[in-house]
Amino acid sequence: MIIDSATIWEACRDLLMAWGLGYSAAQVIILLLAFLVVAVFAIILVLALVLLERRLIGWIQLRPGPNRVGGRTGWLQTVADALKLLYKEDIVPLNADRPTYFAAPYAVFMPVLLMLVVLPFGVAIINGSYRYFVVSDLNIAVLYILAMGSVELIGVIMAGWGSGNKYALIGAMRAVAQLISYEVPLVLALVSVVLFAGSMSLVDIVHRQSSTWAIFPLFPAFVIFFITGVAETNRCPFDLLEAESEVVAGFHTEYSGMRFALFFLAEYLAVWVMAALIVVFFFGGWKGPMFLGEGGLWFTSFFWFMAKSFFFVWCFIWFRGTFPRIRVDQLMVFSWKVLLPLAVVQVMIVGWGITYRNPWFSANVIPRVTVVEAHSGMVGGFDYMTTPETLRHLTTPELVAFGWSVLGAIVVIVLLGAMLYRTILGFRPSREFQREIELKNMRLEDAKGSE
Amino acid sequence: MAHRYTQPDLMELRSDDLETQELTLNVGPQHPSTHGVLRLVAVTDGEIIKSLEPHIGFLHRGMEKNSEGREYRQLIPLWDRNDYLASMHMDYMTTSAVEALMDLEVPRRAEYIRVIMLELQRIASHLFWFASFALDSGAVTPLFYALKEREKIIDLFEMASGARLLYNYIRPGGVRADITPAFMEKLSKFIREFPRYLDECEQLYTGNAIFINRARDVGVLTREAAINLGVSGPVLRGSGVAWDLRKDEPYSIYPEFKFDIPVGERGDVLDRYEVRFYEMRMATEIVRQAMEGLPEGDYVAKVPPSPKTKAGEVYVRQEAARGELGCYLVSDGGRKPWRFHVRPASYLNLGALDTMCRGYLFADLIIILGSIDIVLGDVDK
Repeated sequence: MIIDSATIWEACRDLLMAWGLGYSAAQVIILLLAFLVVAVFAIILVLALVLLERRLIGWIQLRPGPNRVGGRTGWLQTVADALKLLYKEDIVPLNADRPTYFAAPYAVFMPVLLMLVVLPFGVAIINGSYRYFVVSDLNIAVLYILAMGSVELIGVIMAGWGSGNKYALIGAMRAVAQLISYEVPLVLALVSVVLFAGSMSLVDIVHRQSSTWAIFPLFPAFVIFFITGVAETNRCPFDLLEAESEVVAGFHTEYSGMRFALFFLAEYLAVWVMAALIVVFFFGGWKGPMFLGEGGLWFTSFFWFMAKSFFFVWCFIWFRGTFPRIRVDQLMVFSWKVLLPLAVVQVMIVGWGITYRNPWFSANVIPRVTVVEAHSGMVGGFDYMTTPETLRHLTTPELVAFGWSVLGAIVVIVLLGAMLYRTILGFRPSREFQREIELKNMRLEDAKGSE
Repeated sequence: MAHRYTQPDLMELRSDDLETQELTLNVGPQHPSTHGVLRLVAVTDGEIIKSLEPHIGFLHRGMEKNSEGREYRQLIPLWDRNDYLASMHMDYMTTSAVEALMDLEVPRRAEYIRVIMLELQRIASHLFWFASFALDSGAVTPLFYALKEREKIIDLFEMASGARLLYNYIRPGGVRADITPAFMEKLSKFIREFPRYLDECEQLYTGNAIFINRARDVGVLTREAAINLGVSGPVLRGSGVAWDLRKDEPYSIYPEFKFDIPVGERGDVLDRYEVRFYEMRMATEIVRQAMEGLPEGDYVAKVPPSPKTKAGEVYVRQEAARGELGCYLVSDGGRKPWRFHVRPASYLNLGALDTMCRGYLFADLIIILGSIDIVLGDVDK
């Protein structure tokens, strides 16, 4: 019996079952495999991300960044750092609450890793049907993401309490205050997305953005989600709970070695997950110009997903290079007095748009092509590869959105190119200085020549 | 103080069933943003500071006593190390005290060179303050931009004196070495470009809403409190007192230059910030005027290698980067001082920290401390 399947892992499971394995055994093997692949992917991603951040921050701050370990690009720097952390002594403070202290890094790291389970990385067409690169296409994925985001904060509080350090405790208390204030607008921003898409599954949400990316009708929600997303990942300018100039290192002041590395991993993984969520909710997930056609769909969709998410990672890094830190009470005031009313108004507008079938909001609720039609390939290829034929039939909002998405694609490609160029080739902070040295050398050579 | 956080009555109303405890927080001496080995013992209610006590002396080197065993020319490199971010001012302090007891006629060219160096040093010191202040407020990037500009000034100092941090340049009778045409060329280039750089910095950092929110109405020091606590320099002027020794008690050739004294209105962190930025612009202006009027002639008067002073006592003071830098010198007529006492500006400014911090949040403490601009070497002597 072949069960109707939608994810790539389920396709693999079907393959195993065709070889004669039982359903349960195949399911367990495939889920373990899937999670392993995602976890390894996450670790490699974080290593790349830390390097990327350090190089880009170096670019912003007129310095080269890591450029020793692994040649000029410094590509082995994070690996070397990880190895160093592995060898470090694991110090436990005498007055630490030991069980809490030991459990905290895992309580912070695991939820972030678990968030990856529902992220749709892309899509491929296998045997005429869509297979999504997602471990599990949960139908309550939005709720799941929110829950995991909150569980992570319990780990932070555990670390703050368990360390037996006042700075750590202050950092953790700030985390609580921050959680209460930013979680509400975050949820409301997602409510408008869910209303717009009519589903809580991330795959569905991406699919409903076939003709219009959700950012166009939901721009305020995007702004709210972006700001609260920065707060959720504790990045500058909301890095209150690990503000090094105030509370030393916040909740992980007392951690060293690999336990600290887990916090570090969790932070950077959360940055990427948040960027990926922004892409999924507002920027059409893996959708983009599918220039390779159906055969290369697995590659193009993955490429666009990663390109867009790294664009937002770049924004996060850019923030860190630009902004000072906001104060804890100002964050709460901003959250309650500005973001929350804005989010409520946004939800009302979306509700109005859906009820009255405004083309900006209902274009995606009632898909032009039903899923069955798309699957069976009746309409010639798939709906988001915009052909000149379909362009003629688009409504005005869809046409505007299409224009913006083409522009966006160009911007993403240019910025990504610049980012990779700077990361790989590096940045010479003082060209003037370099030129001076060159001139001096030339003069020295001239002097030698004249002798 | 309407904007200060006051203890809500709620706590008192519910005190029978709700027990709260004040937190004594030990900030430093090993803390990332105490600007050195400063220890602050803060009593906080949650994050609100109830009282604050600075503990100093971790860097005490006994320099005043040490000075009594040294000849005057040896004092200059010793006191260089006191405020290592404004060495020129320390040089000038020692020099002017000795000169006051020697009745020396300093050549005009030397005075002009001194003014150029002192004002450049003021810019360099304020730039370093901007770097660390931005770092305290959580922004890392301004550090690199400010230090890049400071590097240009240090290059100039290196051309003039051969040293990059502790210059030992200003000495009784004049300066150690004359400035060269190459130096003047580089200096004029710097003076041309620097105001544009300041505009750039203000665009990046001053206009930022997050920064304005954090700095405005925070760490208020009233005019009266500022005078009572004996603070000086940008902290005093930020509180609205137009007191600048360059104008009010002129020394060297400062009366010959036209410049303004910036004064704050609210006495908060933002005012001190603005005052320092305006001072950098004014210092650029003074350097430009000094460059234009730089006379030819000797750069140093004839002074014996180890000068003797006449017996007596003198108190000289000058407007250094951090405030009023005074020096009390008692001499018995020999080659060494009998008593050498220094009034460091950082030390007295730090005394106002408790007054500034009460009632504000712990996050404000760091930015207020940053706005005072202390150098621990200067505080502890």
